[in-house]
Amino acid sequence: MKISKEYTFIALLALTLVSGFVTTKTTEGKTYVYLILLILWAAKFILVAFEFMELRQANVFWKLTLGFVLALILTIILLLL
Amino acid sequence: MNTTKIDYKNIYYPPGGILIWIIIFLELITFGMALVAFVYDGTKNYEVFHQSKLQLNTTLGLINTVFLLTSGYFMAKAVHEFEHKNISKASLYLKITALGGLLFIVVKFFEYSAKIEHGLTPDTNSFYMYYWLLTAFHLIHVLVGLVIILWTNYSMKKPNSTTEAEDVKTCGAFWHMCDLIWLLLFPVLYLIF
Repeated sequence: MKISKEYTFIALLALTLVSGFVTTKTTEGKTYVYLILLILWAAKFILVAFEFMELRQANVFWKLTLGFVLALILTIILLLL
Repeated sequence: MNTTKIDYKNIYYPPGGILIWIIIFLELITFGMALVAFVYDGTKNYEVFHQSKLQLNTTLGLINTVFLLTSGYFMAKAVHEFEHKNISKASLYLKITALGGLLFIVVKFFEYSAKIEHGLTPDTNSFYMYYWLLTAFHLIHVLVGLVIILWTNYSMKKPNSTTEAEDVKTCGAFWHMCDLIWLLLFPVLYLIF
């Protein structure tokens, strides 16, 4: 599915605002809050890579490699928290 | 101007070129490992990291995220316009992209000044060691990205320019890498703990 750059940009801003809102409305030390923040981060990361960097057009190898790196960092951080 | 069509489905030709993607992966892995070390240390010294994190200005971090995302959007537009041979529009969007980068640096300058004023340097504690190292290393990338953007803008506007769409895409990929790294740094440094 092709998403226009404008929609991608609006989605990125909305996800950033949600991250800020989640942080200000919660207390420290809750794993589910970290999980929400990291999922929001992953969503922004994927939007920038696939829509702005046009990774959507690339060979599946590059998509899978980026997904692997993203999942690896995310999983290790979540396991440590 | 050359806008040769490249088959991006070919494994050797990702958008922007294979070399920039190797650099992007190396950078992401480097910053990722540093952040894993940061989180590991944070779990061992939770109170120090929590108190230090409360001293960070999340609003400035959010503003900087918006600046980088906005400049990333205009970079994507610049690449699109260049591919459609609208050089003047592509140049305008590149300038707006550079402006976003400059605003990011200005905000970072104020943030760093406040930290230095309050004596919060890399020697303060391990949280600030990571904070300074990671954000300053990222800032260097933004500065390099700005130079690349301004150089690309200059070379694409020259008469008989040999700038190709792929060159602008490579420039864009580097700039978006700065976005990706910041998206990685911001939640972990400013929001967690």
